[in-house]
Formats: sequence, structure tokens, C-alpha cells
Amino acid sequence: MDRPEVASAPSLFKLPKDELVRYGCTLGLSLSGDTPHEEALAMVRRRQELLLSMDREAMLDVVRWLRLPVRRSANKEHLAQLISQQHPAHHEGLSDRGLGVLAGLSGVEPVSGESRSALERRLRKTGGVGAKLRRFRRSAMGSLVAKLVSSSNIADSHDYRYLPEDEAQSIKSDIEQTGLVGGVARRLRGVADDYVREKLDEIEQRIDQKLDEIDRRLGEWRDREVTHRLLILKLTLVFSILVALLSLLYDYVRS
Amino acid sequence: MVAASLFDVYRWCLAIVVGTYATIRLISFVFYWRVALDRPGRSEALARRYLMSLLVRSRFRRFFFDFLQIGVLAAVLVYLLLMHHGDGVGAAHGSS
Repeated sequence: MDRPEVASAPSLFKLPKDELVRYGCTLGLSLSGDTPHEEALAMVRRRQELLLSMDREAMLDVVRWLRLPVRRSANKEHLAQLISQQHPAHHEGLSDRGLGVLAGLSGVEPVSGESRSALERRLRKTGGVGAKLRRFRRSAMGSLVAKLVSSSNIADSHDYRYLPEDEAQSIKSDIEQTGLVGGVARRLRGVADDYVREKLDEIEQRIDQKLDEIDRRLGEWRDREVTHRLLILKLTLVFSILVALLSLLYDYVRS
Repeated sequence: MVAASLFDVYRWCLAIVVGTYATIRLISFVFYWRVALDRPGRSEALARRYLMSLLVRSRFRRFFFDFLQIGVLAAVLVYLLLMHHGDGVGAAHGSS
């Protein structure tokens, strides 16, 4: 069984909170900046353990059933992230092991001896009334669109195909085209380019997230300042009213 | 007579002191930000634009309840001031 690229416990502990939240999101968890650090840490660890216990083929079952575009070689973290974003209303056609994966990633603990229909029912209840209403709305909208677009059934009938792997063009064909050194060099260059591109994307994403965080904090600071100023104004008015009342009372007593 | 002018003196003193203080603080605030943001340069221009966007993005609805409270308090204060001149309760009693 292949192991997902999990961060070890000490390195997880050392991660700053925003990094931990980001890492949790890559595991398919819905964490926000307000989640306490300890809670986020516990959730990430639980998710890591869950991913370790999951069968990758079962996860691929779910992905195929959901018809999500993914490479066959995708790791468990990526699969978990994709699956966690989906909340299907019906589960017909999904294998039992796939249903187990879907339940596990949705936070539904499987009970031994539980029937499939009971598990499906519990899975549908996870989102509460809001999710039920949302599913109903989408179902109605889906029926309407399906009636309008007649070719949708044809598209559904196609077999699922994985995305092409990066190594689609073999090193053999590279060497055939450009010779031994050229072929190997081309392959290495391709790998290096991919790595650099991936890292640059990652850095860009982190910078964007940091800028968003700064913007959010400045917005909070602005709101806090305005609230503070308004509070001072209110206190001034209250004090003025009290003095005016006192003055009025004084006038009344004097007269 | 002395007793009658007690609150008038208080009001005048308060108005002068607070008014002067507030004016000085406002001028100082405006001058500080003007000096800080009026420098030529790309970063200052960027900061200027960002500050404007930050101000523009503030939502009135967020402070609606505060503004409402201030409006009510101001109305109460105006009413009490009118009562000092006999235009408030006195007028109301007169009409009734």
C-alpha cells in the first residue's frame, strides 16, 4: 500500500497555524483561520491516520464514479481533497468500498454490520437541513437543464478516462528522436521544468494567501478604529446628556 | 445670578477647551497623513491607492447600529437643550 506524503508529528507541531490550515485543506478538511491551533492539529492527525487506513483503489472508485478528472497516479491526499469537495445526493453505482471512503471523508464513522442503505442515509444527513435544501435545489435545476440539453445522456454514457500521465511520452521515444544524451537531457529538463513550475505556483499561491491575510487584518483594524471612534462619540453624547439633565434639574429646583 | 450662570460657564469652558483640542487633533491628523502619503514615489502612490480602496470598501451596514445609537443620543441632547430655552417640555405642556 502506498503511503501518502504525510508530515510527521513533530513537523506538524512546528507548523505555524496558517500553514497547518493550508495543509489541512490539502487533505480535504474544511478548516478556517478561526479554528484553534490544537483542534486543527488534532483534525489533521486524524485525517492523516484515516488516509493511511484507506485503500487507494477504493478512493479511485469514488473518483471514477464522480467522474472527476484525475491522473491514475494521483496520491491519496489529492484524491481526498477532490472527494471531500463533492457531496453527492445519491450513491447508486458506487462500490461498497467507495461508499466507505466517501463516508470516512465526510466524517461518518462506519458501524460494523450496518447495511448500505443505512450508511447512505447517515451520509445524506451529514450536511443538515441546509445541505438537504441545497441538494433539492440542485436536483430540480439539474432535471430542468437535463430536459433542455438533450445530449447530456450521451456524455454520461462514455467510459471514464484518467487524465494522461506526465510520463506519457516514454523515454524510449525521446531517445529514438534525439539520441541517448539528448533524450535523457530532454527528460531531465522536462522534470526540472515541471518541478520549478510547480514550486513557483506554490510560492505564488502562498504570497497571494499572505496578501489576502494582510488585507483581511487591515480591514479588521479599520473596522476596529471606526468602532472605537464611534464609541468615544457615544460616550461624549451620554455625558453631555447627563450634564444637560443635571442642568435642567438645577433650573427646576432653582425656580 | 451667580448660580444661574454656573452651567453656562461650564458649557462655554467645555466648548472652548474641547473645541480647541479637537481642532488641533484634527489638523494634526490631516497634516500627518498628508505628509506621509503626499511623497512622490511608487510605494507611496500604491499605499495611497490601497488606503483609498480600504476606505471605500468599508460598509455602512456594519456600523448601522452604532450610527442609530448616536442619532438617538443626539436627538435626546437636542431635545434637552431646547427644554433649557423653554421650547421643549414647556411648549409641549403649553399646547396640552
